[in-house]
Amino acid sequence: MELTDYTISFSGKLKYAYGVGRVRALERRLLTKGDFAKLLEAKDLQEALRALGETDYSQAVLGAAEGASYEEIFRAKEGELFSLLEELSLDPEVTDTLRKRYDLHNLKVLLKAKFGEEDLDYLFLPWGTEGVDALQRAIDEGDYRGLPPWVVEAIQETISSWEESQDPVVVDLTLDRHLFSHLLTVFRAAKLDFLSGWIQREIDLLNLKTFSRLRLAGAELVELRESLIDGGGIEPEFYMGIFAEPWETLPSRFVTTLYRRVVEEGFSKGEDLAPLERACRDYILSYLRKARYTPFGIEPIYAYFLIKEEELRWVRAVILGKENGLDPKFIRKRLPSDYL
Amino acid sequence: MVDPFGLAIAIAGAALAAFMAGTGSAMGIGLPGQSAAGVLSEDPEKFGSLFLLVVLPGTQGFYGFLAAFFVMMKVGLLGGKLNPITMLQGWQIFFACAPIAVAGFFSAIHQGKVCAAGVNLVAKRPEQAMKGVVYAAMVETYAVLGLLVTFFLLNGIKIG
Repeated sequence: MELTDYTISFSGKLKYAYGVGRVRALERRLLTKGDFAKLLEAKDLQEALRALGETDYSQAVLGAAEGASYEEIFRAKEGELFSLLEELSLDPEVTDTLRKRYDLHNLKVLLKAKFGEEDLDYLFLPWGTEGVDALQRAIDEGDYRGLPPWVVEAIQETISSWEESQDPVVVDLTLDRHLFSHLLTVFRAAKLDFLSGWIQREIDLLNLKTFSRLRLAGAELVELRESLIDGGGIEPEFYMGIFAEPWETLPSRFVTTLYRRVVEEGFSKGEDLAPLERACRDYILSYLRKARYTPFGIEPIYAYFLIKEEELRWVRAVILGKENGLDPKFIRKRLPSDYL
Repeated sequence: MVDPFGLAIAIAGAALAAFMAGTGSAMGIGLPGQSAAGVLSEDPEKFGSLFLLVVLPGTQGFYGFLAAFFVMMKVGLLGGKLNPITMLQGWQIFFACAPIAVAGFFSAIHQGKVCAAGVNLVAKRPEQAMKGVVYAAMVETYAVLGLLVTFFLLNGIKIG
């Protein structure tokens, strides 16, 4: 089926009644600020695990007690999340986009390993739609059989960009550009405005972070243009027009955009970009939470998946931080405000 | 004397009321039923607080049945002795059944959507269950009005 022929009608959305009901019940088990406070305030790993054992992660804690590594435990938890998604999804063309992000991750690992001539196999993640072997064959031997067109184009363009620039950042940007463009195509074809809006916001915030990073690095304007991704709500020309302006005046430039607060909070500590990173995650999480006002459709399931994935990322960070004696302030500084 | 065509049209009206309102109810219950199954698969203790929201769209089916039953009594189908119905009276009965047939069908489906949303509300905030029921009851109003109009119209048709 051509993507352009693919739509999810309102009656199609009603088919998600079971899935949305289940997700609404699961949302009550998401960790709260109080749960994260207990985890962060725990004196040591054991106390953090006891606190985690009182939450939705109790099975994971039991697994740890039986000798499983934390990486195995969190991997298993991710596996549960993907199984739930498969169970609830009636439109795999749409929900597969969540897995395609992992195809992109694996492609980045493979291409960086090839260009840097190092072994990065330990970084592969098993949640993509394409096998790592197939991606490896495509990169090493040019054998693209069975791969979707967007992946083929992404690989070919990234290899040619690398040959021109020899810059690992270009690898990331080229692949990101292809993924975002593909996801927007899928969501627009399915007429899923909420999810198209999510991708547009991800593009805008990625461009905002790129803009800030390049300013700090003293990059040239031409480098900024090459690094910005099209498809967001803010045109790349906007960033280029304000590239040379002082930090203090930047928030006023974003007053009329959706990102006024992100910029105000993100640039509140001048050249320290940690607040910007947090403000961007806060913004995306608050956008995804709006799916709670959608009574039917794939959106609440999709949003739950992304929110749970974010929670899992931070639980993993806190537990691994405790295991390695990391100062809780380091994580607290980066943790999304919803968890603080 | 019973006009067989008049009787057939009156029966068609009764059948339409029962069929359309019943079908609407079946569709209306289906939606919150699926939502509730989703919630219960994670939280079985909520069965009691979800039950009312799931069954509420079923009332329209009863209204359709009541209207059909009233028609059957009117034409004498239940007593074994048919009343002398004319073609014109048959059509009158047919159109008298239309309000509950149409209002019942559509209101049950839409009430099902409101109830499914109410089920989602209960999943997250069980203490707010009655608010979900109140919204669903707003839709019910129009099915009740349809039944009342059908009832008054049927009551106004004199046979024999």
